[in-house]
Amino acid sequence: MAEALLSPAAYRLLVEHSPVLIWRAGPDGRCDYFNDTWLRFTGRTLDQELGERWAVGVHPEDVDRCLRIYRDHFGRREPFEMEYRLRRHDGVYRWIFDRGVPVFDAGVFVGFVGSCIDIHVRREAEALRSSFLSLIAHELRTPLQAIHTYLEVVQRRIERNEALPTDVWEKVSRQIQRFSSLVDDLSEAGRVERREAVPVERVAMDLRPVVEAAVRRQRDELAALPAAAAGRHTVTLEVTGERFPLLGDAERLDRVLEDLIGNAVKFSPAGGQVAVRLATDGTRHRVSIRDDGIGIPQAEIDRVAEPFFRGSNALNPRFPGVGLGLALARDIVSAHGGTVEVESIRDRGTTITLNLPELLPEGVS
Amino acid sequence: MTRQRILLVDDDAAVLDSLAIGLEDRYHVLVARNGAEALEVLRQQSPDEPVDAVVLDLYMPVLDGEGFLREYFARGGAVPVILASAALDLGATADRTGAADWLQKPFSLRALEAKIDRVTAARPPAGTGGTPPAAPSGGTSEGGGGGGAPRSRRRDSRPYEISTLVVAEIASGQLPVLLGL
Repeated sequence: MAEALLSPAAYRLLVEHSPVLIWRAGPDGRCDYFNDTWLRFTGRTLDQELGERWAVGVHPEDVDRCLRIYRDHFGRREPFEMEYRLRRHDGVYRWIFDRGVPVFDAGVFVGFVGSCIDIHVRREAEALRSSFLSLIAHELRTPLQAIHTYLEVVQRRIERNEALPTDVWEKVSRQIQRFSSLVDDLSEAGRVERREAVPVERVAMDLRPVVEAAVRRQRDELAALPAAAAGRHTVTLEVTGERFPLLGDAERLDRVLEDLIGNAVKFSPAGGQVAVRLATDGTRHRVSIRDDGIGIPQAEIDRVAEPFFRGSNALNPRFPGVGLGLALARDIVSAHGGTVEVESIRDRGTTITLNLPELLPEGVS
Repeated sequence: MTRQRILLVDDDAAVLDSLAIGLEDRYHVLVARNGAEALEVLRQQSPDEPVDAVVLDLYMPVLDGEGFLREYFARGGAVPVILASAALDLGATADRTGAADWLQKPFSLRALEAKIDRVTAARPPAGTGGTPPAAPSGGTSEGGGGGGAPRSRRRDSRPYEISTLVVAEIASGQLPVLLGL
């Protein structure tokens, strides 16, 4: 028995200051107690919560379900568990897990006590995961469709003894590559999510040719696409400095640049400008990629490098991708001892800057 | 008998190219890369060579599939539309938007052809003197006061900037060039 271990005062202190939101209801189902943690969470007074007034703070979409579960279990005197959104003192609704249990005193039902924890972060992670899964399914189906159709055409032409469409094998192979790189992303996603360090090689290299090659590939890719009415994107490169020596993994950094420059194109309108700059102060190299695209809502900037996170203005699958590029970039750059900075103004554009320290190989002064 | 004209709408170059190549054996294929281009193609169709069916992707830039359907049906469009998308719940989307049928990617060419034949069979054969869906209202107000003026072909002769659209007829062999394939 708790009473045997703790004095009533100590017990009360524990309840009042526990990180858990606690409530109590009498045998009539009306709440007659909320701990300090609850009141600090909702920012309301005890009087404002008593009876069934607490339900005012429950999200309008959840309140009916919440009251139904509460009353139903109360009537049957059975424990319940439920999740709902509760308004915090700052007006933000947070997902709450609430567990209520009936209390009996010497066999007589005296009411319920409940404890709640904030599970908002978990709920959001679940939502991200589910949107990631539907995005990846969508992304995988597209090259699969093209492969399927090309092969069906090939089969028909062979059956009819006709010439195959021009470059059909090359086209199929390009779609298979596209499919494979999505599958690579999936395995990469698992690693990023487990927060495992990215294995990077540390080889003496120069950053300049890597940046130049990534820009060139993006330009080639744009030139190969049909231009929209508003015109093609342009990708500019400005290099300040001569040498950009670094101990690093050229292949990984290449992937980072490809993703980030690709993102800049993807999230900016047709005809948009993507400016890539490479500079150095002798000890740190800076690569920045600036676009004039949709930007990132201010409140979401801090989360943008989380795996699977996608800006609320970028959830439409017309922006292909699964929300991994920046998370991966952050991991790879930090494995090089560097940092990633994100600056963005919604509807104006985004600048991503990679800071990569120049590290001299050991034993070389 | 003239070939049926199919308008393929998809923003993915490879999907568009492969389906166009696949369908051109049996149909006359037109392509558009988003809903806005598709509306433009349909607006410019000549009464002698009407589009018989539209194969429509859903997620596209500029104007997506649902936006296209709203706009097209609001204009009185009557060509049957088949949704062809990687999205889920296509049946519900088709019901909600008035699309005639749907196929989830990846689908086979054979399945698509069957759907096309089904939706086009449900309509009177096009181009055989029967009246193809005449442009409703819209055009008539252009003339202002000329009540009895004969309905001109003005809609068709309007100088559209076709060059800004990636609207290629497969027969001309332009598509692979335009798609950079």
